[in-house]
Amino acid sequence: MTAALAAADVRPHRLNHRPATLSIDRVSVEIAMRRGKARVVDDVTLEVWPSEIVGLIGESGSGKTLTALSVLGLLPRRARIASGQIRLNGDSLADKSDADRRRLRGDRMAFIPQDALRALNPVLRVDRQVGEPLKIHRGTAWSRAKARAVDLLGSVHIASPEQRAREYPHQYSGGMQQRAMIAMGLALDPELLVADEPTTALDVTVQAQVLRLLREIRDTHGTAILLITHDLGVVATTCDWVYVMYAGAVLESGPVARLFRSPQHPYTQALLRATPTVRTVQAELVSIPGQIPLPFDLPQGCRFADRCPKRFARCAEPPPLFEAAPGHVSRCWLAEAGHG
Amino acid sequence: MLRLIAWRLAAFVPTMIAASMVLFLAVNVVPGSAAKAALGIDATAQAIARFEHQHGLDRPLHVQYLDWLGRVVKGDFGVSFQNHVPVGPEVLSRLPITLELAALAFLIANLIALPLGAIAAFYHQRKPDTIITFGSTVLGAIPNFWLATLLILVFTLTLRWLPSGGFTPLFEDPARNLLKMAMPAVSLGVVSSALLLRIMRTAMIEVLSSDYIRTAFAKGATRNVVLWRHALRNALIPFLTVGAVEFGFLFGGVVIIEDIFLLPGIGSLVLVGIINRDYPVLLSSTLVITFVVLTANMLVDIAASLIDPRQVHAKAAT
Repeated sequence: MTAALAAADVRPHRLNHRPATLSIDRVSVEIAMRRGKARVVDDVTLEVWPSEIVGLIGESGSGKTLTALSVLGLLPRRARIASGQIRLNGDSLADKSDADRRRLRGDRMAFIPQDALRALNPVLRVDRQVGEPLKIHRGTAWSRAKARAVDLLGSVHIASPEQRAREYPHQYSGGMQQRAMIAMGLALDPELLVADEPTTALDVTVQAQVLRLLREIRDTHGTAILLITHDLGVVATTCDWVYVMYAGAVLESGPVARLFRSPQHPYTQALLRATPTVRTVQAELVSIPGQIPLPFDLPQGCRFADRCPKRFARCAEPPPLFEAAPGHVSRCWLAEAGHG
Repeated sequence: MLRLIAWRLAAFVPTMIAASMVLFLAVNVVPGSAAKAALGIDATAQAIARFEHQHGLDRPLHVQYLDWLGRVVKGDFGVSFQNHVPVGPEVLSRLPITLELAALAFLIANLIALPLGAIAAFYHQRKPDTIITFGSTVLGAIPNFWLATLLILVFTLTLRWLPSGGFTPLFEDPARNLLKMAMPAVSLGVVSSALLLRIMRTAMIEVLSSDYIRTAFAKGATRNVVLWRHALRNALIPFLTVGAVEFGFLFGGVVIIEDIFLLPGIGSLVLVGIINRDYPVLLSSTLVITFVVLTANMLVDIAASLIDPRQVHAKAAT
């Protein structure tokens, strides 16, 4: 492992006693359904610090996107935060009025969605959309907001931004659409970017460019980035810290290098085995048997117990988080003694 | 884009011909005799036969149709059976009145339907939606002639604010013209707004669930910015295509409303044509209405595609 990765093992920011840019503190999200309330995010705690890309990884249905949307206050109407606190630089969002929370969105925190084409308004020119946060939050005149949009498009490496800015989203390639979304997010230099699978819809080469752009933003703007993904490869190349989510709960978290080197939770281990790398041959890839449990019938104890190859008697009780190493925690009874 | 406009224009001619056939058939199939209406109930069989021969009504229907169509294309709309006045100039002089009434009514309908439909969609299945949807259902169920009578009762007979009918040309005295047009336009427009409102609401609900609306909220946009800057133009695309049909329905109401308010437009001419079985008058006036409605539909279709840059730039993208 390189020195850079080793240095990320312990977050230096924590020693400065600054509040984290984003702190999700024991947050639960419930969705009202015909059969009652489903707790789709359960007691999730997560932090993102300045100049840090934090990965939130999980299968579809693990609650990772709802966690991200709850930060921005963009939860679908049937979903609501049932308990817990979300803080931006130490300020609790729940204490603020709707109007104050709206003022934070697009200004101090921005959202980058999965499908950039669908996330861009088809009938508005790109410069208007990218410059709009300035209009909304600073009252900038449209002419100046659009001029700023050209700069922003240039900063996310869109070639000939003056011409491109006047175009409509459907005239852009997939990678350019996602860059335009990122440019829009950067318009007011927010402290926090929440990116929901920003590269899933893109070709592999374009994906690498977008991820490089995110790292560049982290390094040049000191932005805190929460990156939602289902792709361990994205985590490995881009993130500093990672949270592994399963059936609404965080099962393991820690510095990326350490977590990949010695995954503690059997679920993380299975995920890593199920991911192809240069060294694994196709035959060695293992899929995880069974399915992710539905939020209605979660197991009493460990959520992964049903599918876990290392299941034992203790798994009938819900495990707390055990610290395997500084910052590296695992929600598994096997980690109780400090080794997996 | 030019190809799209050319296509719409090309489709216009066959549509118009098909509509003229339907009109001609409908007028001739309806029971009643033009001769009896013109000559009176006591007319002799010979007189009737002479009348029918004189006006070519004894020929086979398709021959009559082609003869009529051929003359209409040349601009000859025929002569009234009743007073032997050429129909063409009569219809043309009445056209502006009807166009103004329909345009005002459609404007009023849209001014009600667009904002309320959008707001109902924004508060989908919440209180404002329930109230607006209920209100529009009630309004939509009111017959426009009943509303017209009610308006006369209130604004003319009780409050004495507005004249009960008549017409002043727009360019002669615009204020007086609008004063006289107000009640007819409102009684047509308010009732028409109900359907338009429901179309707008449905289009808006669809648009508001889009990802780009979530993007707008993520940028910190307020409700009004989301609705009017981000959602409206997108919702107008489906709204216009469906809403144009309502413009056609509006003319059904024009006939009766013009009669109630004594407006000398084409609608009242249609009524005269029906009562007198005056085929040239009836055919010409309905044909002109059809022409107006089809033209409006075509223009709206083109406008709807102009709003959508994906259609405007369709050629550039491929």
